[in-house]
Amino acid sequence: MPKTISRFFLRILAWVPLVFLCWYLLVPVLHWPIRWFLSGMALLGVPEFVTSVQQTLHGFEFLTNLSPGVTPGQVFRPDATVSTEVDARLYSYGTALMAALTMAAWHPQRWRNLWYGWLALLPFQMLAVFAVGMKQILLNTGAAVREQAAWAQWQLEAIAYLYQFSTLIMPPVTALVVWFVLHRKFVEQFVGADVIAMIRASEKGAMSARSAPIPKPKRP
Amino acid sequence: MVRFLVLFLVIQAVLFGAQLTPWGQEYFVIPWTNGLAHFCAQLVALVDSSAEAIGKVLRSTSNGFAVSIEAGCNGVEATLVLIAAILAFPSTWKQKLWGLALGFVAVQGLNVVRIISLFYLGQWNMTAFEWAHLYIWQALIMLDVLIVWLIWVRRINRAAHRDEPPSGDGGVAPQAA
Repeated sequence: MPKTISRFFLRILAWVPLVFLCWYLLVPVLHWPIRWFLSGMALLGVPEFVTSVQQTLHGFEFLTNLSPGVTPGQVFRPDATVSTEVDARLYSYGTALMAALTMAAWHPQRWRNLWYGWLALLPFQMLAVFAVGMKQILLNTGAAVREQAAWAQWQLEAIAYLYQFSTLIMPPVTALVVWFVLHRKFVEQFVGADVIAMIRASEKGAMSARSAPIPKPKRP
Repeated sequence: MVRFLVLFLVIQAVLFGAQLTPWGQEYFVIPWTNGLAHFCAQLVALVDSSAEAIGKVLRSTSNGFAVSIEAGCNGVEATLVLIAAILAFPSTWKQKLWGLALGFVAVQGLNVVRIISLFYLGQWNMTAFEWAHLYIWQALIMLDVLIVWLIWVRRINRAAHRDEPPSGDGGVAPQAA
């Protein structure tokens, strides 16, 4: 196990190429649970216009029953429906980052941590792929598609925000947080204290300070 | 712990939402990104006179290759994550300000390295550029945030130990926010 932050950082850099390559090759397998989740949502009719979700080599294809409507300069068959493909690698590379950190830390239970880390990241990746799929269907197409979907403006705004957040912040931050929680004791040797215990002690202290009665001044 | 997590998520969500608004884009993100492109161009020009910046685009006048600094590549998001992590952590305002100042320099410094490396990587090989752009650098920048935050927490912990009376029980005594 590395003893200093700089050594740990160098070990991460050494692991990054190998781990990212393995992740890239395993992507179709690692995405299976996301497919099950999205297919399950489509079966339940959530949202009601998605008829099915199919897994592609690197992502997912959302099929809908929405008609593309009339778009200037484009001609569609009368039975045409809207579909979109999402490259899920852009939202699941956090798995590779978490794996690189886990291997660099070389914890005795690294394989268990890899497994737990992958499981913990899946819900965020599912959410991200769903948000991107909805954004592409509802915001990248014409007004005719949005009218058929009949989503409220706030729902469209929420999807736009979730898309941005899922693209720019969520993949690496969730990976770091999950790794941090799984390697709490490992981090302790760099910081000199258990960071989570520090936060807990501080919050407990703040709460007891708030709840403690104010002492009355003693009369001489 | 709950307070820290809630504060971290709320600060991050609010700051991220604020920079997405038209006001945030017009008065902060776009000027910052343009300035970053010009700074990178000036830095590259020290060794390569063919680099120039036009708005948020860094381009080579010798072969026409250009990179446009978009959201996610301007270091704003990584800085927001660091700000949220530092503000949410129990520490004094002085410690927070030091952490924010040094963290900002560390994150943006590495981001300049990212932009310049991508500028040259793209001129060499587009597959390598795509890989580095979409996955590797995204991960490394956030890793930088984690490392900076850990170093900052270590300094706070050391300061807390220094302030402890010698007869203490050796426990950690973080300062309340």
